Amino acid sequence: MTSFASRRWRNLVICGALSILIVGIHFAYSVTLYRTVFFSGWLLFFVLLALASYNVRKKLPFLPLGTSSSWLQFHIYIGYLTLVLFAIHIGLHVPNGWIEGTLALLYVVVAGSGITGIGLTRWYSRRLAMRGREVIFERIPAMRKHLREDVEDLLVRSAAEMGSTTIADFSSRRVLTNQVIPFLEGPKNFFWHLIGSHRPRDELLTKLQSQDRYFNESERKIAQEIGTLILAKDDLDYHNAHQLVLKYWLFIHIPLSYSLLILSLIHGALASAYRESSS
Amino acid sequence: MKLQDYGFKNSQYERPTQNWVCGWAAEGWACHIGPDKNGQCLATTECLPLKDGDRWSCTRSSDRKGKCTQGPLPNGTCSVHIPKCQPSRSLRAKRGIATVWTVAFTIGASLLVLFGSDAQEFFSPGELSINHGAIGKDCASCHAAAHEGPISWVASIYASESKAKGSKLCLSCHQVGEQPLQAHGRSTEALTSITERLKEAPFSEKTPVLLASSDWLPGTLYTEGSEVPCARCHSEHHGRDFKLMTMDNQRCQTCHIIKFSSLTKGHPQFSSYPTERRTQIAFDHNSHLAKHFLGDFKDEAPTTCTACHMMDQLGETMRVGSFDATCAACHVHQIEGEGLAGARGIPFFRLPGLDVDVLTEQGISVGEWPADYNVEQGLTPFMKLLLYTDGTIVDYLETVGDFDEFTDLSDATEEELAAIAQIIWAIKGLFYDMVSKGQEAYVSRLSKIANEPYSNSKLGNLTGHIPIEVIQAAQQEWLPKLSTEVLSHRAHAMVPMSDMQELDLNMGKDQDRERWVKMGGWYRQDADFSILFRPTGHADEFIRGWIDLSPLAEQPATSDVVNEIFSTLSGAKAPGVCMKCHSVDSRAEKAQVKWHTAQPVPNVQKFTTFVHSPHLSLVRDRGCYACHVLNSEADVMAGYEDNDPQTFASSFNHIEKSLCVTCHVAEKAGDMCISCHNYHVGNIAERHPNALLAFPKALEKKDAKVLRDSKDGI
Repeated sequence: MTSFASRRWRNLVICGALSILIVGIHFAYSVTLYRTVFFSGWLLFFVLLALASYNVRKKLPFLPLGTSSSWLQFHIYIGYLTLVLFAIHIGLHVPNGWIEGTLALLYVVVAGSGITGIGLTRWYSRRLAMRGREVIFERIPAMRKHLREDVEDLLVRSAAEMGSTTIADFSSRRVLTNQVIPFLEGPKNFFWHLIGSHRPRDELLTKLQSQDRYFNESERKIAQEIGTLILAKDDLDYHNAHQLVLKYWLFIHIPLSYSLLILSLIHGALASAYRESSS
Repeated sequence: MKLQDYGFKNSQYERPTQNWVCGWAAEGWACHIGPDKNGQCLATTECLPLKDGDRWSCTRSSDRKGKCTQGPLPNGTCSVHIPKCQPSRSLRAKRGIATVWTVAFTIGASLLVLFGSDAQEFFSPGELSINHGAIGKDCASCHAAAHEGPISWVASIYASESKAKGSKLCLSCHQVGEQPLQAHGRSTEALTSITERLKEAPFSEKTPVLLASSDWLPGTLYTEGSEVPCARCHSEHHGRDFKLMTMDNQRCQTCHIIKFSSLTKGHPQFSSYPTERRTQIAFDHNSHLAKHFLGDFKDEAPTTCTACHMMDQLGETMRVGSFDATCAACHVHQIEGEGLAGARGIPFFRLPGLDVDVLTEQGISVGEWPADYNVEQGLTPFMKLLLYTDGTIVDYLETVGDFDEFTDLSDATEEELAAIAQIIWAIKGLFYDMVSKGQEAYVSRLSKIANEPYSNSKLGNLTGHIPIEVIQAAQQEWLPKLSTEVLSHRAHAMVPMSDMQELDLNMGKDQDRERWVKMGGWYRQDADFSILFRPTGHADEFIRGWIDLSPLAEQPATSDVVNEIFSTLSGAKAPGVCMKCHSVDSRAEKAQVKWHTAQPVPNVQKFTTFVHSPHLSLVRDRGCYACHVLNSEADVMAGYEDNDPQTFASSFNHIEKSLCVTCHVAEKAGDMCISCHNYHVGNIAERHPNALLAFPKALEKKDAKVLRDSKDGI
């Protein structure tokens, strides 16, 4: 079985070899009267088309077209190849036409989002593995509800078992009503989680712990259990935030990829139609 | 803390790829039924009770907490109803919708741009260079595709290259020769010929790898007849400051069969540069510098090259100064005939010596003719030409072909005598016409030998602006009865033979007459009954006009006579000695006498170009000799023995490539091909506006009336 490292090296070598070949052909064309932009342009278009076909492949899982993993590898490394092609095509100059400028911007956004996506996939997966338990994104609301119900059960239990409403009174007045319950009701602290900060959670726990002096021993235990549930909810929010990012970067990458293809085709048609004129 | 369980009994199966999810999912308690594919809630009850015997039992799954406490109703329906929800789209479906909207927006915006009124502004891939800035946003000025629609544009992706389609629009403003899209403006045949020659030329340099590899790429080779569209080299839309003429060395070599790295490495050695042919004015630098300038003409000799060679206003070429500024000091006296024995004038018209006695014995009358006139001189070639144009004299001249002159006709046959009589009458007729019509007599005859009418200026030069008084005075002295006799002869009346025994001619005045026209002009010479033209000096228009007539003669019947005129005027002893310096070039379609030194032809570009001015500061004390080294062994004048300008020897050694390479390397003065070579060679004339004349409105009606009247013959 091919290890991840050796697969990465193999793919990088292939990608590098293809890049060298393309750059070589480009330079060979550049010493002729052939207009190199047509070589790099159409090659870039067809490579983009091949990259877009990955999404089609995912919609056709029943066809024997290779594993999705192989397609992803192809998508990633051929994607890197487009960086070389794009640089060659624009000649490292900022295009100054409307269509060309828009197209270049689209490419930068699509390629940028793709590279960002790969980075996030690698980075966030490590972060997710290091905190909390593995959770399925679609189940997060249910888990959140479960945690909220557990806290509510604890509050009811404390009143019923101990005949004391200290926690409930205290909570209903201040921390519980204004802080803990809202914290449990939905995903919170999205950006704090993305930057890896525990600050909102720690503040909440500190507030809860600061009430310990008013609790008796049993109530203190319940308060600790609530604290544990808050930690679990915070982990859940952490997973939710990261998984959301892992899913939403595709909201940029995929739709704009199609725009890129459409504009590329228009650009190619215009360039072909106007090619042997004075431009 | 364990947040979730896995397994079909403990947790619900998630289907994130479905388009709709239960509306309660966000609340954390999605129902197990879920919405349909159209997003309709299908929720009914928690389970479908199962009848077991006569009892209904709950079938709620274990992942949903198992059987309920209430159990099914007696009618077999579940007692736990699931509240209806508003299903929401899955994340994947939302992404799909975002994609659809983005695509729709892209297509919509593109269509708006493609068919909008400002489409051209959006199409433009960038600003035009300052050279084409005036075109503005009018794409159709340069792009044929601008007249076509989007469907054609898409079709053009698959079409072969449209080649010259757009280039023709370029050529509507730019004139770059007769075959502008052929490589270097040369014909296919010429290019093929060059290619064949170069294939066999020795070339030891190895072709650079990049250039060699480019030959293997599709779409790069130019075959015979291939056209090179303008845009291949002149790329636009790169901003106002972009240099359209930029061209790198390697691209220049695309079509070349011999490819090399640089001027230093691989460029062929110069074999004859800068001399491609002999100079138009025969001039031997060696003999002048080594002999004449040191001898008798020491005082008149120039001391620097720039005394004779001056830079033109653009600083490109070194021109030879005018005759007066450079040659006259030593050569003007030769041209004026100083020290020349014999007449300095050119006999134009002459009464030939005639054996009147034999004619009289044979009863052939030619009217009066100077008696005892036995000067052995025949017709001048000018006379022959003017008589030839009559047409009637041709046969007679052929008949008497054995007689160069008519002073002894004792052996002549009757037929020859009759022909000679006709020739004499023709001469008298010509003389009469000259007397009675003046210059018109020449003009009407000369006009017959040209396919196209001569200009007044040219006719004037050919007549030498001869004053009629000279002719009339000669006629009255030589043939006083000319008018009567010619008119009678033309009326087919008998004209009696009569000698002019009492002819009173003052031969002694001949020398005076010649002296009187020292600065050029016409005079007569009674000694041989001739009318002569004495040249005015250098660049005499009469001599030049007749010499030029020779190569211009287009009627074979007169070519011998015209060539005789040329021989008369171009001889080493001929008046003016024109051909001593002015060469004849027979390489052109028509032979040409080179009256001027080489001059750059306006709008004609040569393949190799050199601009002197930036190089002058480099030569320092060595001056012109820094580059132009005298070749003392060259036999320069031998190159003028024939009329072929390509067989020559230059006074100077050809310039070595190593001299140029001293500075022209990439890191110093640059070694760009286009520094020395032009791609467009030949006639590169500027297009001129061809607007029709516009009359002021106030005059339009009047002009129209004039035109109408003229058409109606009023």
